Amino acid sequence: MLERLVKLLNEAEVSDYRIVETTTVSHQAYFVKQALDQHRISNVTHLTLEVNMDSEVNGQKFRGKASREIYQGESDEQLKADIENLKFNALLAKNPYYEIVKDEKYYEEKKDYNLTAVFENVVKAMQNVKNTETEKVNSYEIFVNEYYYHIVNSQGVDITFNTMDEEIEIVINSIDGDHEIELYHNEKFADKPIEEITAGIQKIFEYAKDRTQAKPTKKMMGVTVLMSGEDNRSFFRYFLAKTNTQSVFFGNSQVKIGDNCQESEDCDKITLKLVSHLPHSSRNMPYSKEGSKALDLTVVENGIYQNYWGDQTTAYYLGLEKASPANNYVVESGSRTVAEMKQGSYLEIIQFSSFIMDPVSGDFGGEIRLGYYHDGQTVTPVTGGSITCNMNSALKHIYLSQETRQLDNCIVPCTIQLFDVNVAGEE
Amino acid sequence: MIKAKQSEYLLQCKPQLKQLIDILKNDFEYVSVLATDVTGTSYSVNQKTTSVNQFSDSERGFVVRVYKNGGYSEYSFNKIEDVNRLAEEIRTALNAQSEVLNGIRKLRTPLLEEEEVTREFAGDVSEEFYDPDNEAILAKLKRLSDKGASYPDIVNCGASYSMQLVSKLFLSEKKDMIQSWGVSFTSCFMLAFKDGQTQFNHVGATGWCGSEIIDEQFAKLDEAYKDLMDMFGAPNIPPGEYEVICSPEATGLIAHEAFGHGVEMDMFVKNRAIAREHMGDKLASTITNMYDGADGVKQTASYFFDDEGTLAHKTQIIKDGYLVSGICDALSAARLGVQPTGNGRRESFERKVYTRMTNTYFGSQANTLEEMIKSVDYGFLVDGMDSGMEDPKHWGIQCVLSRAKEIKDGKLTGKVFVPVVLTGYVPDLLSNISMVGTDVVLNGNGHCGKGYKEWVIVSDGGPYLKTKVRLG
Repeated sequence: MLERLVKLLNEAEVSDYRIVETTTVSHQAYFVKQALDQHRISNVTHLTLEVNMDSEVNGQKFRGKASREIYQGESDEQLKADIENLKFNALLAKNPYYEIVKDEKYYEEKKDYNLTAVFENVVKAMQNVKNTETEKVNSYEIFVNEYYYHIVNSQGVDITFNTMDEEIEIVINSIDGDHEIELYHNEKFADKPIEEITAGIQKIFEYAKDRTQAKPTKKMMGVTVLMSGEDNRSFFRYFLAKTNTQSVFFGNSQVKIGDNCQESEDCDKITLKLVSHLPHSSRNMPYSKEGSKALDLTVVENGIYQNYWGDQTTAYYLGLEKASPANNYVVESGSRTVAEMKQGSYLEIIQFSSFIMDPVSGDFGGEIRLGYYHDGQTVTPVTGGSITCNMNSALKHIYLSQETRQLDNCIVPCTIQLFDVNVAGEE
Repeated sequence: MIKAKQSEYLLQCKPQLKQLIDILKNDFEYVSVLATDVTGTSYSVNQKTTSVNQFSDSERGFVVRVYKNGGYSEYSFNKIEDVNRLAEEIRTALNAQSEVLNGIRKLRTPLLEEEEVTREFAGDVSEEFYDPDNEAILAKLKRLSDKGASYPDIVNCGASYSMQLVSKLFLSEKKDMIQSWGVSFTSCFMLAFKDGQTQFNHVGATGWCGSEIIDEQFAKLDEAYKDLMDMFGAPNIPPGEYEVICSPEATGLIAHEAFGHGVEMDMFVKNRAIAREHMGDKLASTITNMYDGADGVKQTASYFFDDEGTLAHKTQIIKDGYLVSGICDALSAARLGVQPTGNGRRESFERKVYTRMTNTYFGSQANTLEEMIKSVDYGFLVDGMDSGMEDPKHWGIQCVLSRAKEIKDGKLTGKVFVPVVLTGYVPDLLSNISMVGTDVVLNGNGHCGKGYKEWVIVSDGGPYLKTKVRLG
């Protein structure tokens, strides 16, 4: 199919083209408590074609692109019609000229992931998660996926590799008399030791137990907040959004390289780096679907923006030599230990109902699903209420823990310390 | 308007799919196939670039559902060459997976009892869906983008329009159904930069119509710009419980998060929704009525039958303040011993069916917006939907809204607070509804997830309504 399409594209007088062929094999199982609800297999191949057409108006060169999926089994006539349609649409989309990735060649021998064995291992591990008297598995879903990529373009890109990932979504109930609560956990990873997965689930059991004891969060003004949950990865994605070439090009971000986002001295300075490969990450792709090689890149160092990252088109528009996809990122640890942060009175938030980070305005926060209020002497699990903060002011006075943790494709400080936060809660 | 055409591709595949069912029937007690052909075009113009691409939710593929030994399994694929070989592949793959899962207790599910249905459904679509004037659509979007960009401090304004043509074929031993319809989506965003701050606002609309829907957006830009400018330097709202008037957009988000997710009955099977224990209870004020349905309105989540071949319904969830019904997919209905409501939906042919919302909305009453504002001593008019999260187990609700406009002594003061996180206990929020507006407005420009995945297109809305709730 791909060869046939390339042949027709070479005859079609397009300015450039790019084809991404992705085959996905997915093994899935769904459980209610520990009983099998249903199981699924998906085996699909998608082929996406992007066509570029160049034009010139008053001496200025333009380039347009249009893309669509090419369906399996299309005849030559259908393919020709698709190409003509894409050429027509690409000519309508007259955009500033840019160049596509050139001459990247990469061939990786197909790795044998033995999907069935991986699937069996995860199923066995999850079946071995034992209920306690008060904490019980409500339901879970398992996904084990393998992806095979073949990326070619008209400028000599020819890249082949395969990857895999796993995903578990689990709901835990905890019961205290008549009161039953649930906690939700979703985790993506690749080739991770199974005992680490089940250990993570045991930790959720503990949190679930605490949530049954939780009292409604009180309204508080100007308190210290420790963010210690998985939402810390979304918190640091703010810096990725601010430095993304699309955000900068289209005006969502006004960040310039060299800008200092933390001029205050009363804080830990943020350092965030993209890393092309991170063990056990579900996002270890050596190349992007555009054919750009994944790079190690410092995005923010000591609070100062160092580099943009993003797609080929907008990277070209911003005058970057290379575009770099963001597979994985690492945020450097801070100056305080978690124990040092846990002094005096503070609210520690373990889980938000849905953590919101708006990179345009910098607003972040959400409803508290589980937190702990420490008044300096006693600790009370709390739930409900919400916090709303803004990154511009938060960054002036922020501390990061020395301890870090890996959450799929990132390593981030375990705890973020924020000050002078207003909490909406029970009055 | 003309009747939507059925996908030629699906009609062409139909004999092979019937053959596939016949072959697999030898090994399985139940076999069905859902075949999908979703296509469309998305047009986008902003001040920097223009694009014309395939609609992002486009897909073409198949999913086979089979039943054996008291349980269901599925196989998704998107290529048919030799039907006998395909049947063998499906049988071998699913049997091998069953082997891996052998010994694990099964959640026993009754065999689906289907009625004989052979029907063809076609919605009304604009003729332009089959022969769009791409240049005219892009020109109109350019005018909209230019108008938005002409206001002071706007750094970019983007206008987009998408037309989606959906065709789905459902086949089983007893069912032979095909459907087709078309939906339009348009939106326009304005991005402003002022005093070192960036703010964003957007307008949009959706429906079973054509590109004329873009025209309606021009008139919305003045107010959208004013709202956007009001957000600069706006203070955070002092946390507290207030009298709150919700715009139709905010009303829709509450409907969606409150007793949309809260009554998805696959959550009843897992004992994850407290609503199961409260059917028939009074949980809202008597002027509150709420609905979900692919039938009854023509919006982005309207269809004729769902992804399991169940005919679309209009379900009344809350009637005069009483919780009267949930929404349900076919397998959950079989497990619960109730009738499905046509809410079995997939993110794509590659994903599992869950109970999903369709078009979810509050019904109307007789109050005007002016009456509502006049009735507020101190409170807010909240508007602009950012995101929401459900908690069906405990009836918690979180809605993140774009802005709150202050009301004092029955008048809008012009003071605005951002952002706004609305939280509370669903029965309290619904019981506090004291006034409900006259006009129901739905918008379907968003996707809804189940947990943090399984994104499907939904619409939600309602009229203006007044309640009392916590903002922070």
